[in-house]
Amino acid sequence: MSDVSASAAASVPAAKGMSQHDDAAVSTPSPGQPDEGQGKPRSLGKDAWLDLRTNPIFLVSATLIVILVVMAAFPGLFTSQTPEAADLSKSRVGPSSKAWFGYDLQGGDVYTLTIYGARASIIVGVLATTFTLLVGTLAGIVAGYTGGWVDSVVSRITDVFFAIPLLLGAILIVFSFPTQPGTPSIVIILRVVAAVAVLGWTFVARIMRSSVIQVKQADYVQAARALGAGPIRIVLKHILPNAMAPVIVYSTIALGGYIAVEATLSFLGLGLTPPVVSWGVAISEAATYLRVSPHMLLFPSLFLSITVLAFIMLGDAVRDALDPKLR
Amino acid sequence: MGRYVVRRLLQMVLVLIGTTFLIFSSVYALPGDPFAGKCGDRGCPPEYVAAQRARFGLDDPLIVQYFNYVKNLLQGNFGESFSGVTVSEQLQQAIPITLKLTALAITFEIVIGIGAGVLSGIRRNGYFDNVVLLSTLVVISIPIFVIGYVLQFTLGVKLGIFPVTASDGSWGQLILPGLVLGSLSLAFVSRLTRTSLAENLRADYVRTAVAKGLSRSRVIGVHTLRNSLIPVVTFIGIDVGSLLGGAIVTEGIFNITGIGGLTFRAIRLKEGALVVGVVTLLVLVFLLVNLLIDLLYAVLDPRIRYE
Amino acid sequence: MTLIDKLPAGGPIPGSAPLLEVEDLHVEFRTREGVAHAVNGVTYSLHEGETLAVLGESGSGKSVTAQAIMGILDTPPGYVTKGEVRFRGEDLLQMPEDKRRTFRGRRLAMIFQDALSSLNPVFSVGWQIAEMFRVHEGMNKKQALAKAVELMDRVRIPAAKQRVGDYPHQFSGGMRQRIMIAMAIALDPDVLIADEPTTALDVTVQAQVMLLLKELQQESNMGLILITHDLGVVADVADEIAVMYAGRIVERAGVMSAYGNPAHPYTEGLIASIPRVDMKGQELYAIKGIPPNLMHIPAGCPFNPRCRYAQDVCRVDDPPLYDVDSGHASACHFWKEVRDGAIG
Repeated sequence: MSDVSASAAASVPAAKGMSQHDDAAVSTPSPGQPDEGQGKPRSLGKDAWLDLRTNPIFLVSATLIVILVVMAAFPGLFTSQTPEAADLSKSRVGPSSKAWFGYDLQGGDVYTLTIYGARASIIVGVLATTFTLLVGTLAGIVAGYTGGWVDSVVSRITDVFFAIPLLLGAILIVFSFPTQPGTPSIVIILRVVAAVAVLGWTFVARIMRSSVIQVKQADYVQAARALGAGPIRIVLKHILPNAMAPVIVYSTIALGGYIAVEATLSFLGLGLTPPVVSWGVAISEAATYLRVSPHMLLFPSLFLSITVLAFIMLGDAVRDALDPKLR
Repeated sequence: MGRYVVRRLLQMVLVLIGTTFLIFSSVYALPGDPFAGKCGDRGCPPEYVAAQRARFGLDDPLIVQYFNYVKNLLQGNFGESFSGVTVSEQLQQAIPITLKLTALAITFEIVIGIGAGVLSGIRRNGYFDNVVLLSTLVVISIPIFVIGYVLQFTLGVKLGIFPVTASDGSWGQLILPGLVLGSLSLAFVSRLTRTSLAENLRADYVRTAVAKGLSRSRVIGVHTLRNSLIPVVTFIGIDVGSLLGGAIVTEGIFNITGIGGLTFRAIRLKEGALVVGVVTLLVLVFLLVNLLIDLLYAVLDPRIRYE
Repeated sequence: MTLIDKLPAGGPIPGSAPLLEVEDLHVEFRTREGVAHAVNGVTYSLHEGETLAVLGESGSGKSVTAQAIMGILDTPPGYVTKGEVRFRGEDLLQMPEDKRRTFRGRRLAMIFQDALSSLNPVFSVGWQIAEMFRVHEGMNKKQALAKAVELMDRVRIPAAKQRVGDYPHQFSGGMRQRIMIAMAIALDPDVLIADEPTTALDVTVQAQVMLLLKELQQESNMGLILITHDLGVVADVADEIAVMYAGRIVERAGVMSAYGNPAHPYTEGLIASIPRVDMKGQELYAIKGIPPNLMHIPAGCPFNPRCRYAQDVCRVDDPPLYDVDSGHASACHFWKEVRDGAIG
């Protein structure tokens, strides 16, 4: 308003320190601004960790996951028997002090089988998540940061894969790679991982892409470019740490989801087949006997559900900790 | 608005081509025997193999094969199982049943999901909110086939409230399976609605609406709801995919002779042609539904129309 | 031609009873980290036809006071802990919510800073303006929409009839602000509170919007509370000024006295901070220090850490509002020194 009367001179926001924030908010120091008595400003990651440490949901789910991982890596710690041992005479016998979870159709110890089942599920979950995270993040960054025709091409490819629902696609893939009896367990496992991961990366890519696009417009990115930073440096140092949060949250929850999908595939007879021990197979065999021997279905289902639950809870807790809006 | 529709249609065609090619090549064009494991445990009878090779020109170059494949699809020919029955014939009877089941599932999803989400979003951290959060968490964690068996057992066998199987596909018999099928989606929808509503309630335009002297129910019901439902509608569209997959499991458990049940049996019997044919059909349906959802989205959010 | 020349002659009707009286208002925010005292004993009043400018930095409590007046404070975490807000004699704070809601929008209206986020993006502007008539006056859609077009004309939106069905994102910033104004004055309110209405706008658009506000005020004699940190705008349009700091009023005066004889170090500092055309080449003045943390307001006078007049008594005694002159008050123990030695 340079034409305003002389008595008030030019109307620039008067005193320094007057900002344009909504002053209905509490005027605590904004992140990054030192305040008397608070010392170094805290990063979002550190803030999140402090939050998580006291969050009971995080503590419970993290503990559960640690237990499950130990169970998967060292099943011998939890049970002295082997999953192959089966005594047909004990077929479908209920729980007792000798066998806490009872026996399954072939007379195998349900407890032992359940413990060993953790390994397959965890491996599938971890491998699938790793793959989708790597591929999806790469695709998302390339599409989001580069923009232009590269973005269009990558987005269209993502759309094509995205168009196939997870379970349906997994069925197709499994059908395209049938296994003969005698296929090594690792191949069976990898097949399931591939079935899930080939379609799962699209979700990560989409989330990453929109996250990158948002972060790309931030002032500090423009500042870095103005200072002459090359694209690799900008991506690694500025964009990636700030865009990762939604992807991390999603992947944690998705891990639980992948385990559930694997169980469903195994239930259909398409996932992990014997000799691989899996919860899905156990449940599918136990289903027809639900009325008479519920223990055969109950315990693997319980373990499966708790595993999935643990990952989802973890993802929820991480999301709440990382969400700056909830502070 | 017209431009938006045209653009979406064009995109859809592109994706359709890409997807059908992807399905086709992953099933038929990968190195190895394309008929392995697709005709039950005993392998495909040689006459069948020869007929398929001739019909689909499996010795022709890839592009030609693909065009034949698409041509067949467009003619409604989804393949033929080795028993001689075409996929389309088997589908015809099964489709209406599955449609009923899916309609029920979506109804549950929308009514219960959005309802619970709105009620808990209004009073975040209240008693009802915590109940909803906890129960949705439990439902999400338990895979659909476990929920199916457990509910079938408790509500069907033990308590006798619902019929245990749905062999003739009437509405009454489909209620429990519909609930099972929609359970996972329902949980997601209610959580999403809750979050979306809670976020929108903090928006500036809500403050304006309150300052205008509008009643709380109007502020929430009219102003906030429409904005909050936008991401929910998008999700429901994407989620139809999981409903289609879940139908296979649900129909299998409850013995429903819909498309899912067909596929369930075919998987067990390793009837490759049927499985591939049905899955292809379902993928196409999914794409179509998503197109419709995108158009609906434009109706709800005027900002999209002018992109 | 400056804005002040274009302005209609106005000002409060002498001798009239106050329209709105805020008395000793206290508002606090209870958060996980502690209690923030956002408003600490604010008293001001507004008369018909009067424009009161409430000046202050962010964190001074000026917007929170307005929200408490309107009754749109976020509760939790905000709570009104003391005080009265009287509209034509009736205390709004004591009213049950349904009765209070009848005042909102009808008798007291408010417009906000960012018109894009303050308007609902999924409804047309005509629909949103017409809503006032549909909900409060029971008009049917057609009548209400016709009224909406009238209002859009009144706030000088070109081609109102054609644009009534357009959406907020299709308008420019200045136009959107006019739409908010149209919505606010739809039912001819007695009091309009404008919370930083021009801060987000270009300089020329600012002038137009302020001019519009003044004209509307003149037509209906409504009281206008203008919340801002922009001293230039204030000089042109305000009759009375209330300067706020750390949740309290530190100086209250007519606009001429405030600019000519500021009696509080903070006001003095604000005025001195305005860059002047004839100061080319010299260092700009800024009040040293930063606004206080509302959870730990300094003892005594809250401004004392930054004040160049501060003595021991300032660190101990919280100054009341001393009378400087008729209609001019200052919350400073040394108001005399400030007024007489003023930089101007």
